[in-house]
Amino acid sequence: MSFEVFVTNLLYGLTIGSALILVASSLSLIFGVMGVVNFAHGSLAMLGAYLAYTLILLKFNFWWALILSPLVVGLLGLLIELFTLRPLYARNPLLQFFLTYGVAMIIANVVLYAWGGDALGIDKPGSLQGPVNILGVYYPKFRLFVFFFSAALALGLWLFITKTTWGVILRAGIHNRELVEAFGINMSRVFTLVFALGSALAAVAGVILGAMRNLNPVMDLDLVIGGLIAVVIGGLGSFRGAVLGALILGLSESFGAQLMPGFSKFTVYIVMVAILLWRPEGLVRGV
Amino acid sequence: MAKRDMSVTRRDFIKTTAAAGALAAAGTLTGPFVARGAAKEIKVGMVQSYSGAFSYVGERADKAIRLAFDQSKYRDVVKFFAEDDQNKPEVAVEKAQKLVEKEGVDVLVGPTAGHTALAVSEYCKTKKKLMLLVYGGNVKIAGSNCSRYTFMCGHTTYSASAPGVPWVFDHLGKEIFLIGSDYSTGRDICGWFKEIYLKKGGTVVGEAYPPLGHSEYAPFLSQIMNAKPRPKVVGGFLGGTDCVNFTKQLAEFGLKKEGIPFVTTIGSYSEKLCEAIGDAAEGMYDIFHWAPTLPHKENVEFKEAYLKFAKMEADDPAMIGYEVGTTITYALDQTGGDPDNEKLIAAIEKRKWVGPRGQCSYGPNHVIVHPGYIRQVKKVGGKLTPVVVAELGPVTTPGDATGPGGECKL
Repeated sequence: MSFEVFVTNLLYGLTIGSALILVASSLSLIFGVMGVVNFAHGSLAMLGAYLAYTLILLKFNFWWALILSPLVVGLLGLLIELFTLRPLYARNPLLQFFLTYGVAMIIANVVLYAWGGDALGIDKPGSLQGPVNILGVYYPKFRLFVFFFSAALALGLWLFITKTTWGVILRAGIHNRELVEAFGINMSRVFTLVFALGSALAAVAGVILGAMRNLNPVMDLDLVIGGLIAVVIGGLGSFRGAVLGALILGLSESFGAQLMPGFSKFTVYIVMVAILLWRPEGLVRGV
Repeated sequence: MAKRDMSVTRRDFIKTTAAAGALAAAGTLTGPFVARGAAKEIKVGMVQSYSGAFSYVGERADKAIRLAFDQSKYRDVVKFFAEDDQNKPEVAVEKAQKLVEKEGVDVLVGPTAGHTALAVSEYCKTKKKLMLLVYGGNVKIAGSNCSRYTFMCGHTTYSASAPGVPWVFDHLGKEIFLIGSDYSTGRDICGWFKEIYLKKGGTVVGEAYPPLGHSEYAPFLSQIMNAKPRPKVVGGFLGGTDCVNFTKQLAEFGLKKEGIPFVTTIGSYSEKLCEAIGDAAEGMYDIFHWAPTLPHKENVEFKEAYLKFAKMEADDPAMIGYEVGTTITYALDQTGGDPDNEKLIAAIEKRKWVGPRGQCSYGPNHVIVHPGYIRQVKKVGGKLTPVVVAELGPVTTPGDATGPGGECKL
């Protein structure tokens, strides 16, 4: 493998990984705080991408679409939590999983009905088109934007969790919900906000991945599976784990496709199985 | 009482007169039609994909077949039966059995995917039932598994790729990098590219087979960029979202700017896909048998009629569906409306016509002989669309496309 090929794969792996961080970290946050494995996460990301597509058709520019679409999806997440998940918290956690699976099916069909089955594309902003030269490798500007933007957002989320009062509540809630409530904090409201925030972050990932690749009605499955693998590798409920898992996933996908083209779809799973056998609880413990 | 009775009778009289008048008016429309001897019911069974990945093919072809009958004198006597093949051979055969053995259809329009088409073709062989395929472009049906009862009206992986390769070699470059989705279609097409390039003295500088449904092509693009010698062209087959992602990324990585085009096959660059790709698609090529921009009368008329009938723009599945429909109505015309399958087959074998694709006929293995085209994506009226830039003449799928020994024996 030449130096250029190595750098290309490294950059590409980091880009995919960083976009996946947004899906995985919000998925992990929802699981960590609420104990819900949200199977509709990929669908919310997909919905975000399709909404951005429509906003751009309605003459909004890419940046407005990147802001407005996650807001709408965040609001939808809020409603989903309030009206469907909340009545199920006291029951078997499997019911929550099935519920989010049902929500995923509904969103998938709404997308298919509203936008059709053909692949669609989101126009990238003109300033982010074309390649730049990094260490002799031509790399698309938009991908660099995805990398830096996702990294900045993940850093912001990390600071929010570790440095703010809300973050303290979240971390405390992950460990002991009853104790937090004993301090007079309304955890139900926290749950709603976490689910809304997670949904909005998923939508951000959907918009940027949709612009980087394309929009299609089966992209939800790719996103949720990728997010779940990253979370499982990193450690359930751990933010740092989700970041690490997403980066490992991105790099194993890029180098796997290069080194073993025929098995590139499997390399990710091989890595996941190996890590789970080595550390069944995931790579990172704690937030 | 008597007066009341009389009043009712008068109303009845008016009603009856009006009804008789309406019937008489209808009679003047249907009269000549019946007189032409087409009163016998024609049952057309369609086993196509109405769900799943190929549902758009089934739905659009379905409308086009109905359009062809609507334009014919059989519009009032045709009865359609539509069944979803679910893209599964066993389901497709089961649905075909239902239509043939229970509903007694006269003609079957066959499944969409290649493997399901082959399964139903084998079934029709045993039942001696005429079947026409819209897609189902399995090269085996052209060769070792050909059937007297099956006609392929669309393209195959061979006819929509191999005949265009010499043009690619002559006009786009002698050094090629091959890329194909990792399944039979991608590998077969890259195989034909390779065989023809090597035979003509060209160089295959590298090959890559990404998984079907792959999203990221950076590793493969870096292989292309680092291949020695540098390829002049990238060829092979990527379809659907794979083609969208690859074409976008080819431009993003600067290969398009460098003048290295991608030549895909089987008409991957449809108008819909070009729209999803955006400007990155402009200048790319594919090999196919039709383009919406073909200017001849038959194509223009078909597109207008389809738009009016189906309320949507015509595309490839619609075009082939229409050809299937007109093939059946033509054969019925020749037999005087008699759906006897042996007579219909004899009529279809002799059919020569100019359709939306251009001059067409059926070859000795019952596979359509149609024009082949090299298309390049261009902006026409601000819209990205594949435009014919070279004509390849009549192309088809020979019985031995898959190699010696696979010849068709009807």
